[in-house]
Amino acid sequence: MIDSFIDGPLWYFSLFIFFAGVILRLGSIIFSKHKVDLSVAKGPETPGALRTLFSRFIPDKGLFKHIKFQVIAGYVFHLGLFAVIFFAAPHIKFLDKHFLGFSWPALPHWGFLVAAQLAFLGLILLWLHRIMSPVSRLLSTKGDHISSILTFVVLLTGCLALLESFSSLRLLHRFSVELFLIYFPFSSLMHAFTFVPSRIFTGAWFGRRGIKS
Amino acid sequence: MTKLKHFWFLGIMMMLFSFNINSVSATENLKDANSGLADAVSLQQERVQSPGSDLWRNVRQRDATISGRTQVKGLKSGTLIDTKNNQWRKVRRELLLPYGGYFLMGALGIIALLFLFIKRQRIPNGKSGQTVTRMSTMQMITHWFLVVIVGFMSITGLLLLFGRFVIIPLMGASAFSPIASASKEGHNLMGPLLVVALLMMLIYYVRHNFPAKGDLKWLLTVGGLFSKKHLEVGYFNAGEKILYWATIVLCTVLSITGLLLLFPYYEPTIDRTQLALLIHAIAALALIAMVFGHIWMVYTVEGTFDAMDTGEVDENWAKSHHSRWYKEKTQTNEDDEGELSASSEGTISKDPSSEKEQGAYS
Amino acid sequence: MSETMSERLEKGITALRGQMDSKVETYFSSCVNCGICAESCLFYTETKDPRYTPIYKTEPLRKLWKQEYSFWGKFASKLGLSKPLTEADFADWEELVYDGCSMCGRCSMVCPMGIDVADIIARVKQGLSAAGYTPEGLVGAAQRTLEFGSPMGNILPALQAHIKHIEADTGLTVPFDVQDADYMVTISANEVVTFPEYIASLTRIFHHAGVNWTISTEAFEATNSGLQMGNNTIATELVGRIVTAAEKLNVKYVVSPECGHAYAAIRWNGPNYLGKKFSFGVVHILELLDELYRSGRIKTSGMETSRMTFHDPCQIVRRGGVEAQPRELLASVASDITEMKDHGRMNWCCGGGGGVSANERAEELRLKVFNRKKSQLEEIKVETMVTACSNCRTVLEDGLDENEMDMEVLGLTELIAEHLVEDEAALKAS
Ligand code: HEM
Ligand code: SF4
Ligand code: SF4
Repeated sequence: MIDSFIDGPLWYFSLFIFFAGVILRLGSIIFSKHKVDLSVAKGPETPGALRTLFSRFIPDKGLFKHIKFQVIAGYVFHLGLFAVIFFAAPHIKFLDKHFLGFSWPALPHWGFLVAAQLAFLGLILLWLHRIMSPVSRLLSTKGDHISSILTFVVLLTGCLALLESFSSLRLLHRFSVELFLIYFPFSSLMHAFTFVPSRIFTGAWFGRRGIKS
Repeated sequence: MTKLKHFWFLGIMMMLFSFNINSVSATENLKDANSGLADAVSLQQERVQSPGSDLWRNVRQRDATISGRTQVKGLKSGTLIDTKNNQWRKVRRELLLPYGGYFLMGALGIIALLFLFIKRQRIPNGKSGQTVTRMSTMQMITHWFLVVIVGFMSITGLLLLFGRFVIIPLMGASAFSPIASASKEGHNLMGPLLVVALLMMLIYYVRHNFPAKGDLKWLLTVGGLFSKKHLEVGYFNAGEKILYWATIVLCTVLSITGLLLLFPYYEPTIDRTQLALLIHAIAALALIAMVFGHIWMVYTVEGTFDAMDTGEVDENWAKSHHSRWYKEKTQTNEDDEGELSASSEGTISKDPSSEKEQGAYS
Repeated sequence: MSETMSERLEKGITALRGQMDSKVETYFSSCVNCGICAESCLFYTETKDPRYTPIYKTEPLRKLWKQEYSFWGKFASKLGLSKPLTEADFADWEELVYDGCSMCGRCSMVCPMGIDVADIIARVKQGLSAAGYTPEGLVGAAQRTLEFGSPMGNILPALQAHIKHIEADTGLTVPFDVQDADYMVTISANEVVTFPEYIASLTRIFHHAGVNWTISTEAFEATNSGLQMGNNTIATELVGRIVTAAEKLNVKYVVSPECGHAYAAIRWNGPNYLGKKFSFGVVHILELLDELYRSGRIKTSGMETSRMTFHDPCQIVRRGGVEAQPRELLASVASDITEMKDHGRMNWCCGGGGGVSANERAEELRLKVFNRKKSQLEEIKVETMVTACSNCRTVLEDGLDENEMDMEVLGLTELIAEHLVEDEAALKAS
């Protein structure tokens, strides 16, 4: 009973919430009030926006030595997660079959394991940093912790089901993914999308002032 | 999954197979009320086809090593079944499991008694409200990272070792098989991260853990337990140093044996794999028991937990438990005002790693 | 004021609501509370107090956004689970935002999500000032400017007296209220009172370069306490005076003084305050000088040989885009220039921007965060620091004094004036 619910209605519901939620959130960014800047621009906005969109992947040199930990753990986590999500053989198969109708080469099994380990390593360290460093401890909200923990659970259940032989484990993974998808649009997990408009706004602002950012 | 890296896991898998077969047939003729109940409780009915089960059953009947010929090149590819594994199975079931179990229960029992009967040691003169920085952010992250990894490995490891005696009676065999599979996958996956935790432990703690003046005295008087004389203690006391080094040694042993088990093809003889496995299990049990003791120690000395929570400890705590460290710290603090509290570094040390650390957090 | 507490609060909240737009929505949706911005802010690095983390300073607006614009927040406040904004929040954040932020914008350069944190802090100020939570120092400065034309009271007589001196000294005339001039020069009160050499220097440089310029007696003060307070009504009124005067005199350009926030107020915010594009251009004095230098209208001779560095005023360089010009100008008159480790658009603030220096309550904190500049300077061991903002200059001198550091602080414009070629000849001749 519960399995057909997780594989059926709940799955479609969570997909709907995810896509509708993300579109709604991005829509509210695009369609809410934009202030028009009447001052005379010193430079064009678009190159500035593009520049900042990419330049913020690399931390400022002088700052780097103070934020090494977050940057390195951050990259380890995000790259690992990215590889696990998009290059795990079961995921590619799944996307191919249910959504896309095409596939791409998957990571070999050992590659997947390494990616997952990196993702775990980065995630655990980042989360510990969140609760141990006085600054992020002060800033962090319940939502941030829920996001971290949900991501952890999704990763974990996925890896526990690695043998691909037990439908209960697969369902557990599927269920945690569903919770994740439902939570995603209403949490800071949205940063996975909103970093783009955010950097673009700031970059355009700096662009029109003739500043490299 | 075709490569079964752990041979003993082969044993478990075989048991699982038979449980599965049992429960499948049980549901079919609904005679076995117990397992029917278990199925209702369990997450999901598992069906695993085992086309070769008859063959396997036959093979299992024999005691001698059965060797054949094969085109496959490899040290053991001609051996269909190795009786050594059966011997190992005996060792595991008749020695490791019962004695390991008693050991763990005994340790838990002792800790429970300690929790019940030993009064918490209050901070002398109560909390002063003033705090001193004891742990840097990196030190705390390192400690808790070790806790997360050791915790996860302990839970999955214990499930693999003793799970069948707890889970099967409680939840039924069909619940145990996915749990065992999950534990095995999780244990294998997270294991290598222990190496990272270990390295971080070395980087951020080792310099506080070398033997120092007063350690011997501390040990002889068991931390002043039986004498009222005040002991001068530095950053860590001898007990903590022993905890540290024991953790380092046990984790190193666990990492090395664990990696050997993860990559058995680099270790061609089954005897050595079995030895590694035995050592792995014993070291794990020792570490777990020690962690119980550690948790009790932290609980029973009021104010200690703060060191790993905020990194700040109460002055009165510091004065009474680590007086020498407290003195050194407050003195140097006066010398270069504030600088040090900002770096949130426990002691003042001139080695480069502390500078690196201060760089990262100052 | 006789307003009741809740009225004040309501006003503040309304003002904060008015700040919501697509940027706020994007920025708050993106922040992952990583804390990286803390390491970029001198108020955090020098105090290690996590409350000075840039994004934490935006908390009142963030709280409101969460409760009224985010899904879970709306949900929670419907259920009465979240605590609404209170006076206590406003009171606490008054100190964080006005004393603990110099609006330097360094945080906006480093956020991995690209959040312009300083922009949001400026919006928080709007709410705080609407609710009346503004430090006395700033309120006083704003009132004096509204009433007497400058934060230091009525300084027109002082200016005129001073200009008489200049005219006597140099034999040049300072053109007041000239119709159809090319450039209408504005200044900051601080330049009249503390650094009068600035005006003398301008007079000599403009004469040297043959610039057709003027000063309006009606609007020469360009500093803007309204901007520093976060009060758009006052800010608009003050910029409006300059715009009216410039339109009346029908000038081609208004020249902003060195002062950084004055430049921001008229160059970038002005048109938006008034809701119209200006009929004249706005240039910063350094932009003008650099243009004159490049087109060969300023000729300099001789080189300073002492070891120098340039302190970048945040609003001019990082937030204003005038980064290359001061370097080019300085290199034309100085031979031994050493940059600080973080310089240009990543320079560290002097600690007194954004109204902090006008806020006596913040003095202790300001001197503490000066340690950042101090260690920057100690690294490069220079004898002279050149800058281009009278506010930076006062704050720097104060900090150097306090730390008993022996270092000269010079204004870039004055330095250029000292090296004019013809001027020397003219002086000798007279
Ligand atoms: C919930 C469980 C735990 C708590 C509450 C806890 C708490 C603490 C605290 C407060 C300290 C610092 C003592 C001081 O300041 O002198 C500490 C040190 C330490 N902990 Fe734990 N801990 C826990 C679990 C573990 C685990 C699972 C391990 C790993 C095997 C571990 C290994 C260590 C070691 C090695 C040290 C000493 C470091 C040294 O002496 O250099 N702890 N712990
Ligand atoms: S650096 Fe950016 S994302 Fe990180 S806490 Fe600061 S504002 Fe938020
Ligand atoms: S603008 Fe400058 S002073 Fe203000 S929070 Fe950002 S970095 Fe700190």
